[in-house]
This record gives sequence, structure tokens and C-alpha cells, in this order.
Amino acid sequence: MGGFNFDQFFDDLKTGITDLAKNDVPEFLREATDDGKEFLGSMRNDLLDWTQQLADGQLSKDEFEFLVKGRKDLAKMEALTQAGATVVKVNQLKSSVVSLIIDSARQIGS
Amino acid sequence: MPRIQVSSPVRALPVARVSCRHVALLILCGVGLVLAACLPSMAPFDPVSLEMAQTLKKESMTLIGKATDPPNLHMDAITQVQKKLQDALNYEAAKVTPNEIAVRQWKLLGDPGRNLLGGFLKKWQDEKVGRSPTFLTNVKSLVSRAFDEIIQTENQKPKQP
Repeated sequence: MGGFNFDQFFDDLKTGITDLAKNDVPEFLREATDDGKEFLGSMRNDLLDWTQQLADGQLSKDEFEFLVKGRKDLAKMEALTQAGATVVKVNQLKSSVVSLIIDSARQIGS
Repeated sequence: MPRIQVSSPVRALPVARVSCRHVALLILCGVGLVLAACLPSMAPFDPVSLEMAQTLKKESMTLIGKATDPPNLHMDAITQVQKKLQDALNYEAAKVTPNEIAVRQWKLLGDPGRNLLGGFLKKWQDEKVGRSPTFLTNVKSLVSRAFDEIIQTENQKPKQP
């Protein structure tokens, strides 16, 4: 890839996230920076491919933008899946607690 | 600490002891009912939903693969996929048990204003040209992973209501 340094590009993005957090949510600087870097980290492999393809002229800027925004939408779907898994686990735990209470109550009543 | 006097009469009366048991039983049942009522709602696993997602994923991958052509050559297939996306959303939204997570995922996937399947189909139709194979490979990867999230959401639902 002619002259394009992905690692430098990625490091610049990380610095950019810290600056964004400082300006946008200074009261939650650490949390916002951590969340932003985690999101960026989850995109690293995709960005590595797409930036290389952009630099090589295989992708237009418009297509690159479409993909990055699509990756953000995919991240939302991933977060929803995780939320669903959490709901299932909480449901299972609460069902177990309810069963425990009912079993204990039976012993009191007998 | 002064001894509480109330306990003596209760011990003295067997009827009162039974009442205490009943009160404890009622309290425990009450707590159980409150906990049960607080359970987050989630629709149970639905094989129809799973099949719908898997089938539409295959059809979508095939259609995206044809997007090197201008969209007017595939209008029927585009319309079919858009209709099936809407049908899937309607099906999930109509479930009696709240199904918010799956509904939100289908909305993200099919929304023409976003950048997954719905957004790609709109872009292809609006721009009226075939897309590059590199771009399509990337779009397929994103859309495929988006379908996988929906499939995983369905698979992790409780198997019994």
C-alpha cells in the first residue's frame, strides 16, 4: 500500500477519541475514552482492510463512508445481542430464586 | 436489651404459631410473585423466526452478489427482499410477549436510512449503477454478520415459554 501507514492512522484515531471525549463529555472523560477505544478496537480488522482498499483505489470515499457507518450499525446489533443474553441470564437467576422461595415456603407450611 | 414481651403469648397459643407460619408463607409467596412479575419479558425461542432469518440471509447474500449489475436488472428480487424484511419485522413486532431486542435488530437491518441491508438496497437503487466487487464483498460481510446477530438473538432465547 503506497505510503499508507495503518498503525499511525489507528493511533491518530485513538488520540482523536481522547480529544473528542475531552470536548464533548469532559465529566465522563475516562468512561467515554474507554468506550470509544473499545469500539475502535472492535473495528480494527475491518478498518485495516477498508483503509487499504481505499488507499489502493478499490473503494471510493463514498463506499468507505458507507462501510464505516454500516460497521457502527452492526456494533449496535452486537450490543443488542449481548443485552438479550443478559436478559436471559437474569431471567434464569430470578426463576431460580422464585423456585427457591417456593420450596422454602413449602417446608414452612408442612 | 429489654426482652420483647409479645413473643410469649404467641408461643403459648398453638393457633397463633400456625398463623405465623401462614404469615411467613404469604410473605414468601408475595416475594416470589413480585420477583416473577419483575422478570424481564422475552419471547420464547421461535423456529419460524430462526428459519425466516436464515432463509432471508441466503437470499440477501445472493442478491448482493448480483449487485455488480445495475439494479433495474434485479428489481423483482430487490422488491422481494425488501418485502421479506418488512414481513419479518412485522412478524417479530406482532408477538404477544415483548420482543424488543429482535424488533430493534430487524429495524436496524432493514432501515433504508441506515447502512446495512436496507441502506445498501436503497443506495443501489438510487445510484442506478452496478457496484465494485470489492465493495460488495465488504457489504456482504457486514450484512452476513448482522443476520448472524439476529440468529444468535433467536437461538439464545429460552426454549420453553
